[in-house]
Amino acid sequence: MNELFTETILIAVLAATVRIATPLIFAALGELITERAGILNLGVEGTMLMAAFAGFAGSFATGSTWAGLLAAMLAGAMMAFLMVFMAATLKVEQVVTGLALNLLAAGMSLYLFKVYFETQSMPMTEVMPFMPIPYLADIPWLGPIMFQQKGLTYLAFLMVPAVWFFLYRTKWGLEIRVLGENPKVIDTKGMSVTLRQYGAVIMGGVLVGLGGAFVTIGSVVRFVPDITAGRGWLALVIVIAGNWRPSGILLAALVFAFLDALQLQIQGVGVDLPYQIFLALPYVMAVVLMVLKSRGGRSEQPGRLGIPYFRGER
Amino acid sequence: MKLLSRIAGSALLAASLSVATPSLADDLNIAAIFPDGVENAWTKAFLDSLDVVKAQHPHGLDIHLDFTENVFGDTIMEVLEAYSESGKYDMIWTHQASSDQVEELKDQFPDILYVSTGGGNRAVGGNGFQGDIFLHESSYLVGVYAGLDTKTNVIGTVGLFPSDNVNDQVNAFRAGARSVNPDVKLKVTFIESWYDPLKAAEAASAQIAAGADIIFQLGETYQVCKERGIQCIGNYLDMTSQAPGNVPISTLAKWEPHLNYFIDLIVDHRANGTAYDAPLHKIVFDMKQGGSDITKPADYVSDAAKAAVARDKAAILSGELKVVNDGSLPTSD
Repeated sequence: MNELFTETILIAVLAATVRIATPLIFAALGELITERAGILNLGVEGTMLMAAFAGFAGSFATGSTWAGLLAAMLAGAMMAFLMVFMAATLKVEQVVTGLALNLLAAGMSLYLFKVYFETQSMPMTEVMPFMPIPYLADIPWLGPIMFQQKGLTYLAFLMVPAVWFFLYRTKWGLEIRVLGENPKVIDTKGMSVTLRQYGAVIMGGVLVGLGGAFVTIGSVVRFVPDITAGRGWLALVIVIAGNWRPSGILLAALVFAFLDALQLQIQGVGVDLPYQIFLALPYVMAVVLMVLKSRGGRSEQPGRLGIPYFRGER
Repeated sequence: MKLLSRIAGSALLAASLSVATPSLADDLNIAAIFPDGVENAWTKAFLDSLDVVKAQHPHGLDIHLDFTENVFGDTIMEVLEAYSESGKYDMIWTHQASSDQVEELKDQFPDILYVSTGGGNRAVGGNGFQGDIFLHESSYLVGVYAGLDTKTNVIGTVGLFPSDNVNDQVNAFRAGARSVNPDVKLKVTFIESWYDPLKAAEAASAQIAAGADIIFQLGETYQVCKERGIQCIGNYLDMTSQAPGNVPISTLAKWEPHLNYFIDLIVDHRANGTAYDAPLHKIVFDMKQGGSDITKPADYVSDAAKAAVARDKAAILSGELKVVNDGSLPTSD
C-alpha cells in the first residue's frame, strides 16, 4: 500500500486524473450550455458516441487527426441539431427525445462502422500526440501532471473559464441563461427564443463532440461499439453535482476522474480488498454527490429546464 | 441498444438467408454468431482459422460461412432459431456462452451440429457441443520471454473481465516469468468492461508508472505501449501491426483442430447417419494438438529469451513440461 504514496505513483495518478477528466469536462460543459438554455439533453452519451465514431472515421479517411476532430465536432453539432429541432421546434418531450438519440447513436455508429469498414482487419488510425509545453512541462510535479498532456486536454481546461466568461460576461451568455429561467423575457423583447435555443444547443453539441473525439482520436487507435462507455451519462451527473456552474463542473469532473485513476493504480498495488469496490468508487461518489446536492445549498438548476416554451403561455 | 442490435441482427440474417442455396453434397455450410465485430481478436482468430481450414478442403468439401455479429443476451435465441429453421446449415457456431439456448433448440434440429465456445457454457449432450481454447501454455511461454527481458523486474497484465479463461492465462504468464526470474513481480488489473479501450490504456499507464516495462495486453489496447515506449504482448492473434516495434510476441488461438474435429463428425453423420453424441465436457486441443501457439519472437527480443522460449515450447510439445491450468483469480504481487 505504501507503494501508492511514492512521488512517481502520485504524479501518475494525478496526470491520469487530468486525462480521464478531459472528455468529461468537454461533455459536461456542452450539456451545461444546453441546459442553461432550458433544454434537457439526455442524449449526451449518444452524441459523444457519434462524435467518437465520426472522429475516428474522419481521421481514417483523410489521414489527418485535425480532419477527424472537425468531423467529430460536426457530428456533435448534428446530433444537437436533432435534439433542438425535436425539443424547440416540434416541442417533443425532451427526456424521450434524449433517450431516443442514445438509441439512434448506438445503432447508427455500429451500422456506419460496419458499412464503412467492410473488412475483417482491425482498422486503426493515428491518434493525437502528447504535446509537452516547453518550460512548463519541466516544473516539478505540476509539469508532468498538467503540461505533458495532449492538445485536447489543454483545450478542455481552457474551456472552463471560457464557458464561464461566455455565460456570465457576454450578452449572448445572458440571453442563454434567461432562456433557461424565463424565455418570455426574450420573446417580449422581440428576440427569437427558438433561434437562441438552436444556437446554445448546437454549441453545446460541438463541445460534447470534442469529448467524443478525445475518446477515439485523442486516445486510442481503434473504434469499438459503445466506446464512450457511459462517460456521457457521467457528464450529466457532473452537471448536477457541479450545480450548473463551470467551476463546479471542473471540480466534479476531477473528483470522478481522480477516483477512477486511483482505482486503476490500487489494483496494481495489490490491496487486500475486492478490486470491484474500487471500480465502483466513481459511481458511488456520483450518488453521494447527488444526495448532498439535494440537501444543501441553493440550486442553480435552470427553472425552465426541460419545459418547452409556447408563445402566449402564462 | 438491445433492440437495435436485434433489428440489425435480423436484417443481416434476412440478407444472408435471402441468398441461401440448398446444401450440396460437396458443400458444408456453417452459420456463426459472434458476440462482437469480426475485427475483434477473439472472433478474428476464429475466422482466420476457418480460412485455413477452408483452403484445405477437408473431405473435398467447399466450406461456406454466413455470420451475424454483435449478438448477445436474449438476442442469441432469435438468431439461432432463424439460422436453424432456414435448413441451410450443417453447423451453427456460437462464439460465446449459448448452451442454454442450444439446449432448447437442439432436439428439434438433430441434423445440425451446434457448437458453443468460450466460458460460461455447460454440457448439454446430443448435438450440442462445447468447444474452448486454453491459452495457458502459450501464456506461460510469453511469460518466459517477459521474465527474461524485463529490465525493471516488474511486468503486468491488463484484462477486461476475470474469468477462468482469462485467469488461467494470467497465472500461467506469472508462472512462466517466475520460472526464469524468481524475483519478477506481476501487476494485475481488470477494467471490468468489454468496450473501453481508453480505460484499458489508462490501466496500462498505471502499471507503467508502477515500473512495469512489459505488459501482457488482454485488453487489446496497444497504442499506449507505443506512446510509453514499453513492450506489450499480444493475445489471440499476432498483434504486431497494432504497434510495430512494441509487440515482441503474441499468443495465438487456433481453432483449426476444433473445426476439423466437427467437420469429421458432420461427414460421418451425412454418410452413415451417425447420431451426434457430444461428450459432457469441453472439447479442447492443447498446444501439442495444434489448439494454441505463439508467434515467432521479434528480432529485437534477446537471444536468451528466444532460446528459453524455444526450449520450453519444445518441452511442452514433447510433454516434458506440463503447464498448470490455474483458473483462480490472480492478484498483483
